[in-house]
Amino acid sequence: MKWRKIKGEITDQFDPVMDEMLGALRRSTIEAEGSDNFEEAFLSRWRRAKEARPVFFWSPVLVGAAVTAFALLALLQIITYVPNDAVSPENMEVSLPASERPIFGNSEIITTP
Amino acid sequence: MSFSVSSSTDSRELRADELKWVARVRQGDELAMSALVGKHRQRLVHVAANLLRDAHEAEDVSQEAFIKAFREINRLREDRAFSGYLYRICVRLCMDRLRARKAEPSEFDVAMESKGEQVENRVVIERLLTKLTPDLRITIVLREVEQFSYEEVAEAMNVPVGTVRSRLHSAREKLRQLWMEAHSE
Repeated sequence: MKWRKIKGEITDQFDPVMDEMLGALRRSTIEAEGSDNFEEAFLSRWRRAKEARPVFFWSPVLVGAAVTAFALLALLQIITYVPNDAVSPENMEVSLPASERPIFGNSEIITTP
Repeated sequence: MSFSVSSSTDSRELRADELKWVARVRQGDELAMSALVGKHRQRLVHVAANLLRDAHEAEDVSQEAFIKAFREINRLREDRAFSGYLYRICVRLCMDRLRARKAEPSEFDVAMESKGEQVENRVVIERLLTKLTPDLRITIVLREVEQFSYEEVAEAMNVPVGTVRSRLHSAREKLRQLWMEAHSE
């Protein structure tokens, strides 16, 4: 039975509407207990979840490792990059004029066969 | 605090058993899991069914709650708090499902309509509950239908007892107003 407080008065007043509504709410209970194979179904779901767990658990690590490997490869490529003009024929020794060719100090000791 | 599943005198023994089972579940023992499922499933399914107003969905949610509870058992600090921990997970899952639902009358409403006053009231209650927010709905169902104490509702919903009291008051007033409107039509 529900008694309703009206505007903070000390004495409460019986509220038939609230009482009826709460009574209807309590009578509307759904009497469910779960099916007979609840435990079997649970164990089956549990095992499936357990099998899927390692993949689920490690997948962010695998993705992280792949991204890191890709980034490292890209970095290595940037570091070891050699521009094409650095090996162009103009910069090669054979193409330089005689005056710009390097002079080796020991040229006189080179003997021709 | 524990959510009572048995009012018999051997509840202390049951609690001692539960402590052993929880300790074994931490080591991945499936027999201990079955024992805990056997102990809590009836009440848990009942609670979920009344929160969701759907017995089939309740079974699914209950299984999901057990799986989540066992999988994240290391989050449980004290073994004796297992039941509160389990109900909290179940209530959270029900809350998520209620939030994802549209406010529509279920098939049950349509099928059972106009079959006597009691059934009619039940249909009205079902419809009115859908008009409450999930927070208010869960609070009033746990307290009025499942007869949880204020402290148990607070623990299951992970809110202070004062919040439970305030939500309960709001839920009763809102439901009363909706009830009057439904009966004046």
